[in-house]
Amino acid sequence: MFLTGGDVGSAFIEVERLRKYFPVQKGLVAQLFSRSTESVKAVDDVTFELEKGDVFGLVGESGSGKTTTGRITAGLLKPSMGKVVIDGTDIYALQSSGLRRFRKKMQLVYQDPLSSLNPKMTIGDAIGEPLRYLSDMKESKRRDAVLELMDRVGLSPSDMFYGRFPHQLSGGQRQRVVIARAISIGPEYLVADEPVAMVDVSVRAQIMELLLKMQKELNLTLLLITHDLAVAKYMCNKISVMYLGKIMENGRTKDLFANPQHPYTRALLEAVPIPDPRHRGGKELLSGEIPSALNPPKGCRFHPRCPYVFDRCSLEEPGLVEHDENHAVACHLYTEGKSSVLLAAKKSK
Amino acid sequence: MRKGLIQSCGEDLTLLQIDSLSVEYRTLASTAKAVQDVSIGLEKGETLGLVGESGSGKSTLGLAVMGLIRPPGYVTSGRIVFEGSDLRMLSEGALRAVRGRKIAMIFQDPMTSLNPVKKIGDHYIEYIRAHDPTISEADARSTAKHVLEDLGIPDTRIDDYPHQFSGGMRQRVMIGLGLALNPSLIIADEPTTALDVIVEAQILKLMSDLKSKYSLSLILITHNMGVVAEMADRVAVMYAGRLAEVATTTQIFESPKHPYTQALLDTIPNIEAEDRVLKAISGTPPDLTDLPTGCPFHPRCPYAFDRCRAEVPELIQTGERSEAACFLLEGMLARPSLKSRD
Amino acid sequence: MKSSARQAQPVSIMHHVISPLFGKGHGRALVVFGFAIVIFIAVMSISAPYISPHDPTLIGLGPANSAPSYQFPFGTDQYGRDLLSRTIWGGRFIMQVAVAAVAICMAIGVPIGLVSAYTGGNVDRTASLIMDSIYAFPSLVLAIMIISVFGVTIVNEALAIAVVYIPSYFRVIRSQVLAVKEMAYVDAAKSVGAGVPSVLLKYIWPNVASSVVVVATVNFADSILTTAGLDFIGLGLPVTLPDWGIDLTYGRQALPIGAWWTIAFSGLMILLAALGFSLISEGYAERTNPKLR
Repeated sequence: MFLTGGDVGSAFIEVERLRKYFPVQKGLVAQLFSRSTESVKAVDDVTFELEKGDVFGLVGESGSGKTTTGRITAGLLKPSMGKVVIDGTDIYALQSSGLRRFRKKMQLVYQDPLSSLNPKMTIGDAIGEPLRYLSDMKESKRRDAVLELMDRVGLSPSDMFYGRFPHQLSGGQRQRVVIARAISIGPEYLVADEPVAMVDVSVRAQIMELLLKMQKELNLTLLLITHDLAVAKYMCNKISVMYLGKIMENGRTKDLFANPQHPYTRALLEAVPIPDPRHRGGKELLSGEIPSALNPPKGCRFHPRCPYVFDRCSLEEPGLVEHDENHAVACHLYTEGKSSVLLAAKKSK
Repeated sequence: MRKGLIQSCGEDLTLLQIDSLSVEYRTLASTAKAVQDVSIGLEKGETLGLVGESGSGKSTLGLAVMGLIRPPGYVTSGRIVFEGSDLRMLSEGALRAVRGRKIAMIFQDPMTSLNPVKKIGDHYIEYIRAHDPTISEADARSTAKHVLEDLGIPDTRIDDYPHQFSGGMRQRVMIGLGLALNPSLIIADEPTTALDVIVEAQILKLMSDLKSKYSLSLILITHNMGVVAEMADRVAVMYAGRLAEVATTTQIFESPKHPYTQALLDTIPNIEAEDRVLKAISGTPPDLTDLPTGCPFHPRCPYAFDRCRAEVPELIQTGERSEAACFLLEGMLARPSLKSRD
Repeated sequence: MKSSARQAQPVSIMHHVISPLFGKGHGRALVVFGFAIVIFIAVMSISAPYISPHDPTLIGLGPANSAPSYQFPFGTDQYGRDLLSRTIWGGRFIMQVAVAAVAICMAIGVPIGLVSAYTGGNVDRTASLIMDSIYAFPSLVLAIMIISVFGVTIVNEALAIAVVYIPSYFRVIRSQVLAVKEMAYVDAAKSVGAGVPSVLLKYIWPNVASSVVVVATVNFADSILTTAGLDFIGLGLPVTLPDWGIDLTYGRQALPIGAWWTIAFSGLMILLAALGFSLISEGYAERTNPKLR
C-alpha cells in the first residue's frame, strides 16, 4: 500500500507525516505585542510512498505544497516534522556529511532551465559539476563522461555543445543540460519540478520522452511535480492530488482519471481546457480561489468551495482512507457513505 | 452556446483586416524578423485564436494592431484596416483615441500591469476620464461599479488596492479595464497563462460571457491549444513570424493541413485521449535573426523537399475562409489565397 | 542552431573581458574612445623619460611665463620650466595613485562584500553598518587627515582615497550578490555538493564581477580628481616635481598677466584622464543594460 504508511519497509521511498511550516516575518511591533507566531503551513501532514521505478505525480495548483514536498524528499529542505525514508535511511536523521554522501542518490531537475544554469559556466563544466564534487572520478575521465552524457540526452554533436554557454542554447536544449547534470552521478531518485512548464510546446514531448527514457534506462524513481494534468497523465503511473498542503486523493493514474473520487479532483479535471473543440462548454466550475495558506479553512481545507459540503466538513479534517484498491481519498463523503451523490452528479452530465 | 460562423465574406462584416504586415526588431547586432507578410481578417463577433510558440510573432502581431510597436521594433510594411481606416496612417493622437475606446488589450501578467499604489476604482476612473475628460468623477465611478459587477467582483471592493486581490481577481480587473470604454475589439495576449487551472477556466468563461453580452470581437493570443479549442471560432497558426495555417477551430483540430499544425497537435498531451503516444517534433523553433531560407518550418518538417528549402510558400486557399502555406497543397487545390480587395 | 562561430577554447577571456567591452552593440564607441584616452595617457606617462624634450624640473630653461612657441610648444611656467615636459611627466604620480587606490579598494571591498552578502545574518548587518559609516565620511577630509599625519607618498595618498571608496565596492557587490545567491543555479550548485568556496568563486563571483567595472572606473576618475585636489591645497608632492595638480595650482598665479597656458594644459590633462575613465564606465554601463528583447 502506498497510501497510508501502514506497511513500513517495503517501499523504496517513504514520506511520513511530512510538515513544513514557514514562519512569517513580522514587523518589530507585531513581534513584541502579538503572542502567536503565524506561519504558512505549506505542507501539512503528507504521507505517501514510492516503489522503485515509479513515476509518481504530485499534482496541484499554486499553494498546494507540491514543490515544497518535492524538495523535501530530495533532501534539500528540512521538514518541520515528519520523515523521509529512502531505501531504509531516514535522510534527515543523518549528519551533514552523511547527507552529503547520500545526495548522490537524489537529484533535482529544476523548472526554469535558464535560471538553474550558471550563465558564466560552459554547459560542459556545468554537467560535470556533480561528478566533480560527489564522485571520485579523475578530471581527465570527467570530460569523456560528460560528452557521453550529452550524447545520451541528445545534445549532439557533444564536442560542439561542450563549450557553449546557456544563453546560446534553446529552452529545450537547456532542459536537456539540466537533465544530463542530474543523471550524471547515477542517482536512484529524481525529482522533476515542472520540467516542461517553461519549454516551448513543440519541444515538450521531446523532454517528456527523454525523461521517461532515462527513467527506464537507469531504473530511476521519478517524482514529477506539475500543475498540468495532461502531462501527469502522460508520464505518471501514480498520482497524488494536493490542495493547500494536504493530499486530497492518491491513486494509480488510470483509476484517478477514470474515477476521480475527490470533488477537488473532479473540479480540476472539469476545468482543464481540452484540445478538442467537441469538448466545449457546459462546464461546472468551482467558484472562488485558493485561500491563503496562512489561515487555511478549518476542517476539510476544501470545504468552502466544495459543491457537496455538509456539516462535518467544516468541523473535522478527513483522513486519507483507501476505499478502492490502491485508491485513497480524504473526503467525508466516503467515510459517511455519501459518495453516491457524486455518482449522481456524474450521471446527469 | 457557440456563435455560428458568418458564411459570407462581405466587407461590412469585417471588423479588422490586416494586409501584408511585417514587423522587425533591429539592434546593432542583428535584425529579428518578428512578423513577415501576415494577412488575416477578423469578422464582427468572431473569436480568432492566434496560436504559436515563442518566436512565432503572435504577441508582436497583437501589439502591432494596437500601434504599440516602438523602437527597436519597426512596422516595415502592410496595412491594418480597422472599421474602414488604416491604423498605420493615423497620427499618434488619433491612435490614442482608438486604443482603449475601440480596441483594448489585455496582457498576461496582471501583477505588473496594475499600479500597486492606486486603488482599483482609481484605475478605472482615471482610465475612463483620460479618454473623455468631460465625464465627471462620480459618473466614472458608477461606470466602474457596473463593470466590477459584470466581472463578479463585489463593488464594495472598489477602494481596495491590487495587493488585496488574488491573481484571478486581478486578471478580472484587467479585463474590466479593457471593457470599460466599450471597445468593439479585445486583444488578449496569453490572458490565462499565469493562472491556475480552475481560475483559468473561470476567466475563460467570464470572457466568453462578456463577449456575448457586449457583442465583442476577440483576438485570443495563446500557445495553449486547449484554450483555443474552448474559445475560438477560427484559428490562425503562426510559425517564425509567418502564418502557417488559418481555418475554423473544427477544421484545425480534425483536419489540419499544414505539417506544423499536424505535428503540433500530435505533440500535445490530452487527458481525454486514451493511450496515445506523443510524437515529438524534432529540432527547435528557429532563431528569428537567422531564419532558414524558404519555408521556415522545413528543417523540422517530415515532408520537406527541395522547393521548401528554396522558396517561401504562399497561403493557399483550402476552403471557405481557410488557408495554409505549404507546397504540399499546391496542385491539390485551386488558387492562391485571396487578400482583401482594396 | 547558431553556427559555431565561437570556439570552445579561448572562450573565457573572450567572453568575460573582450566581448563585454568591445563587442558589437551600444556604447561601444564610448568604451573604445575612453580606452584610447586612458591608453594614451598611460603610454605617455610610462615613456615620459624617453619622449620628454627637456628635464621638467630644470628652472630657467626659458623665460618665465612665456607663451607657447616653437621652442616651448606648451610655453613655460613662472620658473621658466618647459610646460610640455612637465605635462608629459605630470601624470605619473596621479596615475600611480589612481591605480594603487583602485587596487587596494578592490582587494578589500570586493571580498568583504562577497562574504558578507553571502553569509548574511549578523555578519552582514555588522559589515554593512561599518561600511555605511565610512561611506558617510567626506573623502577629502579623510585624505587631508591621513596625509597631514603620515606624509605624502603614493601609498598614503592611495590609501586615503581607497579607504573612502571601499564602501562603494562593498555596496555594489553586496547588492549583486544578494540577487544572485537566490538564483536557482546557486541552489543547484549546493545540491550537487559544491562547498562555500566553490560556490563563491565559480557561481557567485563571475556573475557579479561586471558590476565592479563600473565602480572601478568611477573610482579611477574620482581618485585622479582627488589627488589633483590635494595638490591644490598643498598636500601633494613637493612643488618642484612635475605634476598636473601642482601645475594647475601654481599656474593660477600667472593668470592675471594673461598666461593661460600655465593652467590650460595641466587642467586639460586632468580633465582628459577623468573623462577617459568615465567614458569607459558609461559605455560599459550602457552595454550591460539589456536593450535587446
